[in-house]
Amino acid sequence: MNSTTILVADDEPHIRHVVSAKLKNAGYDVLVAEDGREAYELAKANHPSLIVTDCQMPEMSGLELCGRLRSEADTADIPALILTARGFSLDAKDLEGTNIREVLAKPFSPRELLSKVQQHLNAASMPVAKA
Amino acid sequence: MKTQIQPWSAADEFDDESPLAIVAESTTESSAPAGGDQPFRARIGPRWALAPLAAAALIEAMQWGGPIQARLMSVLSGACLLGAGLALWLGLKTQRRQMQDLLLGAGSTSRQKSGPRLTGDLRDFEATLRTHLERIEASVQKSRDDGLSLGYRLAATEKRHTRAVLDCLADAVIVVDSGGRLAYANEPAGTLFGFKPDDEAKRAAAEMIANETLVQQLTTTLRSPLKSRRHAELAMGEPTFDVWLTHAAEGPSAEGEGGFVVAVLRDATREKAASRVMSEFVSHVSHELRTPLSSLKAYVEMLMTGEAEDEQTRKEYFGIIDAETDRMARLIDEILNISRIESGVVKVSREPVSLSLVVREVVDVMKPHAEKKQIRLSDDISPIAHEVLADRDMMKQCVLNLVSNAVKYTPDGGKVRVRLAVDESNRRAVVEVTDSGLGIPESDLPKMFQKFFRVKANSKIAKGTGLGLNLVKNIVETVHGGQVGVRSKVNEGSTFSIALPLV
Repeated sequence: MNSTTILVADDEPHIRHVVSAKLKNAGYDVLVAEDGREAYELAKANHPSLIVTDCQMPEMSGLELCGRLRSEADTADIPALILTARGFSLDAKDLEGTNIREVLAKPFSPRELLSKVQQHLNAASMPVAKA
Repeated sequence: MKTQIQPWSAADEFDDESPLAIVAESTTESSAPAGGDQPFRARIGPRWALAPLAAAALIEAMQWGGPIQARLMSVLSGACLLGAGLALWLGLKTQRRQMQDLLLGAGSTSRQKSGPRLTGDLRDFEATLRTHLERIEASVQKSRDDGLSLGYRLAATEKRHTRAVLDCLADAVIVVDSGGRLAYANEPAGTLFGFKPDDEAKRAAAEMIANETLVQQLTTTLRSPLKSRRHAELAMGEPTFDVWLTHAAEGPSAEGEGGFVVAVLRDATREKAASRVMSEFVSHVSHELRTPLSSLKAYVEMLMTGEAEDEQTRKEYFGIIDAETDRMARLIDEILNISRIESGVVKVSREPVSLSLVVREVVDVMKPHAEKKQIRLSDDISPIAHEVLADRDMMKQCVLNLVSNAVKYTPDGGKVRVRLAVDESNRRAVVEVTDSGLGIPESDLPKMFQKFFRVKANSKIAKGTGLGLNLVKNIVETVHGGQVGVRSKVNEGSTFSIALPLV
């Protein structure tokens, strides 16, 4: 891959649309998924550099998606950012067994999302100790 | 009839205790003495004192004779007068003394027999006085007895009333004395802990109350300072209770002795359940609102940072902002509607409504949406009259929700049919909306009309708040006394029904 690929997973079409637009404008390649299962399949097939996923999705939740990817060798190192519309934030216990680096609450700012994406992409290029 | 001359004694004569005062004491406690009043006529002095007076007058009359006889007669008459005076004086003194004796001795009727022996007039006086005094004493005694018995009856009545009031409470009330014994328990308490509160025997609270936590709480409260008040939560199997314990003082003393503990237990189960339901609801609502809000924020920011470079994109973004704003408004309306109906605040206008007209209107509104998915939308309206007493707008909303759902959850090329029929035997009008859609798993059927419930398998094909069916249920059942229903088979389709009593 010449440029960095980011996988965006969200069941809300408007969110998918605005996040991909923002990332594309910033020069990234974007893959979109409508639900957890589609996201899993795309991740396995394309090995994106980073995943941006919603928490609640049909078929498979964001947490479950990240858990499965983390447990599989070829996708274990892909960092993830998770968006949550939940009233309470996720705690460390929820994130165990995933490669989620940051939790962003909805409504989120696309600018902030982009900066986090860039931050974690840079960090990911350094070796990460496995949990 | 001779008066006995009593020996004169200074103590008696100068006795300060006025006989009248004694009578006064006994009359203050009672009202008018029982029995008729007999006027007492006092007689001053004995009758025989008149005799010398008569003699003196006679002698004076005889004076009309000679000088020596006249002087003799004067001396005699003078002596007679003196004698009369002396007799009078003696008589009065004796009488006074006897009266004193009488009155002093009349205080206790038991001394009747040992009273002084008296002359006729004094005897009458004595009898009258004795009767009066007896009546006064009896009256006083009766008042005292009545007072006591009345007081006792009042106290007993009050106790019964207080107990009756305490038994009417929903809360359980338990009183434990300073020795840790169960002093009182009302009926709810008896029911709760399985003993008869009437049991007067005071046994240790630990024996009678099977709940260790409560017994512990009671003990702790007994040891706390007087007037202290504590609160605890008590779980007894499934139900939970709020307990308030107070260490009350028996009286104005406060040395740590003589206190008792009052425990009031209130069933908190329903409150807890209700607050759980409430917080779930709030959680759902905030989630549903955050979703369109996220879109709004994201697109607004993109427009602000100039990332919508061309007119086309800008128009697109504005359109999305507009649509999402509407979506939020609709959601808030739905929630408010449901909330108002549930709390009975909503204004309902009831009039005869022709359901056939309502059905036709809804079908007309939904036809374009159905056509977009190539879904055949038809109606089947029975020719029999079917008027119901209902709120027209609410009826339209219900039918619209059902038809909209049917179109939403039916894949392209399917069909939706709205049927209106009369159930003669039950005197009901029935609206049925049948689709050839995805169907609903059997396990989900009972939950279909719950707030925010959405069938997981179907959440991909269409978005929804999960409130539409709940609104229908509230309108049909709560407001109009009708009934909702659903039948379904996965991958074949579903039928939702509304039944309303005919006018």
